[in-house]
Amino acid sequence: MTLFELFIILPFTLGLTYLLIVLSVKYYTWFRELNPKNKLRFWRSITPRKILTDINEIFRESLLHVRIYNQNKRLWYMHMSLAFGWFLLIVAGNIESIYFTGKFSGLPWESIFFDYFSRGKELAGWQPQVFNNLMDLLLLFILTGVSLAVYKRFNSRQLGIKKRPIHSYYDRLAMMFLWFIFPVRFIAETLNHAFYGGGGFMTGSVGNLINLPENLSFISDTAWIVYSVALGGFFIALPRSRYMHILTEIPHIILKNAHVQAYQDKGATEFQLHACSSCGICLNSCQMTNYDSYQGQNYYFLRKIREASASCPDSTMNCMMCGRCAKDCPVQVDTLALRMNERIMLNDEINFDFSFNEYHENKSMPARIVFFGGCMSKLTPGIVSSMKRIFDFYGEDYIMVDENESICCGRPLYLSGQKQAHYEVVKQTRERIMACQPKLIVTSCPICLTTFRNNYFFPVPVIHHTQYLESLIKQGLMLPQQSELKTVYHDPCELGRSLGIYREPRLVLRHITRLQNNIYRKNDGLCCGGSVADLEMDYTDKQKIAIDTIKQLINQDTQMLATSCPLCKLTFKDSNILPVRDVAEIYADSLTIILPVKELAEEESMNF
Amino acid sequence: MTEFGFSIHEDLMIDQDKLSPVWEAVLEKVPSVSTCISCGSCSGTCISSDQTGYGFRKLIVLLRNGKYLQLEKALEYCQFCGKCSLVCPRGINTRKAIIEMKKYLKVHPHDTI
Repeated sequence: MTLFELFIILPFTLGLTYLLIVLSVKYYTWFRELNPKNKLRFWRSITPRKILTDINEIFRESLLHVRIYNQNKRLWYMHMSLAFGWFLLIVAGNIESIYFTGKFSGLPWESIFFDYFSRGKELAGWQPQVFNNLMDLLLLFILTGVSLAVYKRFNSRQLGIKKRPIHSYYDRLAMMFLWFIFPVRFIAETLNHAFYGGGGFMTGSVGNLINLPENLSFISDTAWIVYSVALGGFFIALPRSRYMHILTEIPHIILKNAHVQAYQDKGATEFQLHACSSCGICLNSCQMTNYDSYQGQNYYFLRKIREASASCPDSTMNCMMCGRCAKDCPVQVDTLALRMNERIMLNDEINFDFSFNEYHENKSMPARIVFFGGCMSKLTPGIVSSMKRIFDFYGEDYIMVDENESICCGRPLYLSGQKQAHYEVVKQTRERIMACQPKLIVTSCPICLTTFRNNYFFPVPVIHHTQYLESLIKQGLMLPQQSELKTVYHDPCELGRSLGIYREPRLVLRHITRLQNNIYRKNDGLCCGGSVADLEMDYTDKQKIAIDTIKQLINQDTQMLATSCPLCKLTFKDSNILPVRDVAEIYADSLTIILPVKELAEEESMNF
Repeated sequence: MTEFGFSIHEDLMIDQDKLSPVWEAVLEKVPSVSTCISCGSCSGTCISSDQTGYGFRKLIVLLRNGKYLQLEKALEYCQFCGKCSLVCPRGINTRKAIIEMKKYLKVHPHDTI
């Protein structure tokens, strides 16, 4: 190797070495920081079957970007052409190098600068032509992706991104190098072929068009040096930029398939943070993107943690935690867990004293069903009284556990990051509920239901009141009458995306009303805006979101909005657009027979 | 001695001339606090108030009058359910105000203010 050749490969090699050292140090540190529990999950996941699943997902997501295909085709083409095209270019370059040199050296620069090293030594036969054309085709494929990426900076809406994300300094630097790599390679190859012949359909033909005197052949060498510098520069800028996701996505997918949780785990959090590609799809999903000044979406939030490693209270707390971004994320970053980690770090140390709430005496009688209305149903008493009517009607042995005293499930404390205080409330509320010795716990509040299922570890089933009503309909006993009311159902975030209860409320509503369909349903449901998770938003902002949501949900002839969450009902009700009712209220009102079961039985026995 | 069921409380002087740094700090973060009309809806709906006697309205009174020792104790009872912000006719973000008070008093103990 001559000194000049060394000079050409030096920037690239330096960059690559730096990148590999930084990556291995970072990955090693993060892996060491995993919880023992998560480490065990990881080691357990190393089975042939899991490895095959991992490889399949890495191919589908890291290279083909299948999840983005479902979002927007143009955006998918842009991402896929860059990722998959570059991958194929590396593979094809390696095969070409091995084929013509006859040996596998393992030195990366041999294949990357193959055209430089092999110039003027074109072999006879059809094989070089095939390789040249193939490499040109792949380069063209990538160049179309790069041109789309450049276009996206000016008109992101055309590529399905509602609002153009504002990149940070390092991101821009790395992006500049990335955009340079492929056009410079094209120029280098073209000049190569202009002076030394050969080349495929694109670089060869353009090279033939350029007619330069022999003594200017140093331009070609310069172009190769610029190519090497662009590659090296990209590799050096990569670890501090969003392009870290290119390589971190691989360990992230492996850890994700091993069910490693990012919640309260520093190592897993780092893996997830750096796997975020900052693609900007979360800006689309977030309902708060419509407000100009808002920069709390995960695109900005994750970047702030990643870059500054310092907390950012405003955007940490200003999130409704509806989970729409987590659902749309093509990398499947657990955005909610990452945000919870930050919140706990910020607020867990705050003092609390709930000794006044301690449970001393058993005030409630044992019953088969314990109904827990939650705090919010104190403001929507219609739901509780309807449930009472329904329980009475079917002759259930029930008790309203929080009828005379207010007890909180603890989730608002948890969502604000006060984990210790949350556990204190959980302990007290659990004691109160378990004192009734229930066989079944029914709650009308999805917020309570989430925390009951996640943190309370009840020995008995806990269900939502829509699930209870669905079970009544399934039993087929004295069904309520169907009305002609045209209803649209709103999926509460905590009930839908968090717990996956979509079918039951719809089944109940189909039985008693004429349920209309809407676009934002099930997994794609919108947030009402009144979320307890948001500590920053004012009432007016919440109302704006509520009105936006109602407008998206209803059709022209909708007569009623049904929901199954007291907080959603309250928030929607304030916007005064159309009547909002809970599923329980609609059910209770459509019960035809006024006589409850007990009285019916008494009447029958009197007849005998 | 006859028990009347109540006693005369100790002498209390509220110095309204003195600036309250906690009030300023909270006002900076949650400007809507200044619109509080002390209607008492928040205390009426509070899940802790019937056992502890403190609601958001009382917190604001304690804050304005500079009774930080009492305020610090009262703040510990909040369960963050957010019903007070739902019923507030002025739309005050009560939970943020409470968390800001808590944080301020944690960093600056009441006797140093």
